[in-house]
Amino acid sequence: MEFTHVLFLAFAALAVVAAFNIILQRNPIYCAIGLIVVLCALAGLFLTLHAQFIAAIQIIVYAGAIMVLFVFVIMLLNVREEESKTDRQKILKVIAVPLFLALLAEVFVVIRLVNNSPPAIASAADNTNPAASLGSVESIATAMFTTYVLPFEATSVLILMAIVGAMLLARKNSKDDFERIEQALTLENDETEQAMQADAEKSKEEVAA
Amino acid sequence: MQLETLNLNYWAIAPEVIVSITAVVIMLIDAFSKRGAHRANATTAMIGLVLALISVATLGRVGVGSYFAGMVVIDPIRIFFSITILIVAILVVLLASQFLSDEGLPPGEFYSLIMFATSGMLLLASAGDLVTVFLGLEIASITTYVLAGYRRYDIRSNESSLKYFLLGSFSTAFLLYGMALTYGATRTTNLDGIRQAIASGQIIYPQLLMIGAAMMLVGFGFKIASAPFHLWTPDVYEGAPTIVTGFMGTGPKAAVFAAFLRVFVGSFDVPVEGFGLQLHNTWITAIAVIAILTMTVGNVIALSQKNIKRMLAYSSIAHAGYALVGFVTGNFATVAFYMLAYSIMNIGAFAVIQILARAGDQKTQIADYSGIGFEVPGLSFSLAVFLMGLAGIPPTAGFISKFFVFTNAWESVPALRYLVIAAVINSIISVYYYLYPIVVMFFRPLNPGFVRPRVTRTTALAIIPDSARHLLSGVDA
Amino acid sequence: MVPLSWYLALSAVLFTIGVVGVIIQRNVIVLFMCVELMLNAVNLTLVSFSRYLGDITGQLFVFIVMAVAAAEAAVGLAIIISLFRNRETLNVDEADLLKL
Repeated sequence: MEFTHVLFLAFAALAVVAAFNIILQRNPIYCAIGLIVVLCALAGLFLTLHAQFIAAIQIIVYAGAIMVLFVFVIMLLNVREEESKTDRQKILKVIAVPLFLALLAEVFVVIRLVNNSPPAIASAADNTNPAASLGSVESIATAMFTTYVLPFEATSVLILMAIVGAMLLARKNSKDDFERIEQALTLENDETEQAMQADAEKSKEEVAA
Repeated sequence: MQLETLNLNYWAIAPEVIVSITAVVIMLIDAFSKRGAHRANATTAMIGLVLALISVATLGRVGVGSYFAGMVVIDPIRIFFSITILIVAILVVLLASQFLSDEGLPPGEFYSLIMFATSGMLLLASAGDLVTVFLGLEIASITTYVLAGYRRYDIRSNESSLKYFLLGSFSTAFLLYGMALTYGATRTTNLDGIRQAIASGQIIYPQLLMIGAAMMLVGFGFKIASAPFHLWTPDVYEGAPTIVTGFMGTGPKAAVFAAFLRVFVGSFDVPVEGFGLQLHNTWITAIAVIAILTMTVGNVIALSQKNIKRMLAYSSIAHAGYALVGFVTGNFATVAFYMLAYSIMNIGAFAVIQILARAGDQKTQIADYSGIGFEVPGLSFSLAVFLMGLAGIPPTAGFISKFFVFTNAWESVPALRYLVIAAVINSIISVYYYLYPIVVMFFRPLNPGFVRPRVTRTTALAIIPDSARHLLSGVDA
Repeated sequence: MVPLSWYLALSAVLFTIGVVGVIIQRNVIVLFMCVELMLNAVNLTLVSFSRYLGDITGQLFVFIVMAVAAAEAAVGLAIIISLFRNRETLNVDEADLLKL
């Protein structure tokens, strides 16, 4: 058993245990911590795959920014532990055994599918720049700004849109907002009221006539 | 890699760039203008969209081929679907000004989000690579999640946007896993490259490609709201503001169909001996099954709906099923025309419902429509035309598009004739629930307290030419 | 050398745990965390294919997926905040609006 195998098994076990933690814990903060552990374990796995850049940005962006956002929101909304236990236990008992068998089956199926024809690992050198090894910042940068320049720019549109959308949805209602909405809706209400009064008068006339 | 081989031709992405710049300009205008200055925002949006339409027309002159290192392609599919998407966006922009001013919602963000969504859909329709498909899909989807929750004070809108978001991100994860497996099996994410890999038989892990295709099918299935992935779609359509429902039921659906066509018919459909043939047969069977399920589920459940928005949501599901029938033939043109006709009908119907439902979507039950036929003849006749179009009654464009799809499917794939028979039976069943609101509008007594709603000029501009074109295009198509 | 199949198996397991989490969770924030778990499983698949096929595309795809996941997280949490705000603070002002 080489050292790399040991490393893989250690990180893999950590990831799987933390993943189960996410779906089984009741307190959302513990679930968030579980997800952070999964992210860090995956970063370790990326390092064993010689993907240094991706590992670094996984920690910085995913675990360092996105998960912090999650924790902020959980704290902001003051989400508490789930109160009722009974529902959860029943569902888990029903799901646990089939899930476990499915996971075992998956592992075997995948290992069999892929082991049949392993390709020779292409030389660790990158296609465009033989001097840079695959996974280094240089190789990613070369590809990003030549082949993938359009997705890169489109990502900026995506992020701009996400900023606009998030700020629109999450901002506090200002007094102006309330006034405008109330004004608009009461206008409609007034019209309906007038029409109903007009109808009532008409029907009174008909009855009188 | 030399820069020349990348084919960085900016005219090839002109529509997307124009629409994105319009979005930013609208945000700037909104930042520097007084409150309630809708007109400037709407005008800018219209100018941007018209310019984008012109640039789509010039795409043909740029030349058919792939650009930006294979990320975008120019071909007839892209041009047709781009025109559909831009028409949808123009209609929504026309209809939005009344909606926004009636309800006192912030206008600047609405128009800029519609522009962003349009740019994402255009990118999706032009995709030549799985990365671009993913990115365009996400831009369009995330913007629509926000738009669905635009009425922040209304809990139905909040719930709709939450359900749409959860459904959308779940399906994105499936789609992405399929893309990853496809990449692993063929060592490329370029759609053309995948096609060549399958054609030449140089697939590294064939079973992974099969599983990858299956997962992508599941992901796309969620996105076009086909059965059995449709469970939350009616809730989403019902809760969102009606204009937004019209938008999300037509624009993103058309764009996803374009990408779906490109990936499955363009890349995976290579009936060469060996693995290619196996893949071809498998996914055609899968789509046939999904098509029948979708049509049937959509139509049967629509029969019992009392809320008109929910009814139209189920009808959208059924229409996705009919479009899938056109899929299995591999003929892009029929599906593209179907999506265009369906988009216009759907937006028209939702526009009329938006006006009749009043601010805040208060009156959306079919019973609320009783007797209004001759009180508001413009609206009710338009709605009648749109509903008949959706049902596929001649001579509307809805009938013509269904006719094309079904006859094409009947002739080109004899093995799947049962699909066309099922589709025709479903269309006949659907006529009942499409005609029911028409009957209610014209042949039932009027409810007391009915107020004639305001219809601004821009809204009328959107609805009337639509319905007229719809009737007439059936004649001259 | 760790076989490719081990990495794929691990990512399949993580993906499945994510799917089960989405189905059984009732807290909407944790549900979204399970979706993020699924996306991370896909990232692992992509990076391992990138390494074993000698192609940089996989890692670039991961980069784009991370950016998209960040944008999705921002918008998703904003939606959740918007929903909770409506449910929690039904004070007198907003009760009027909802009645109409």
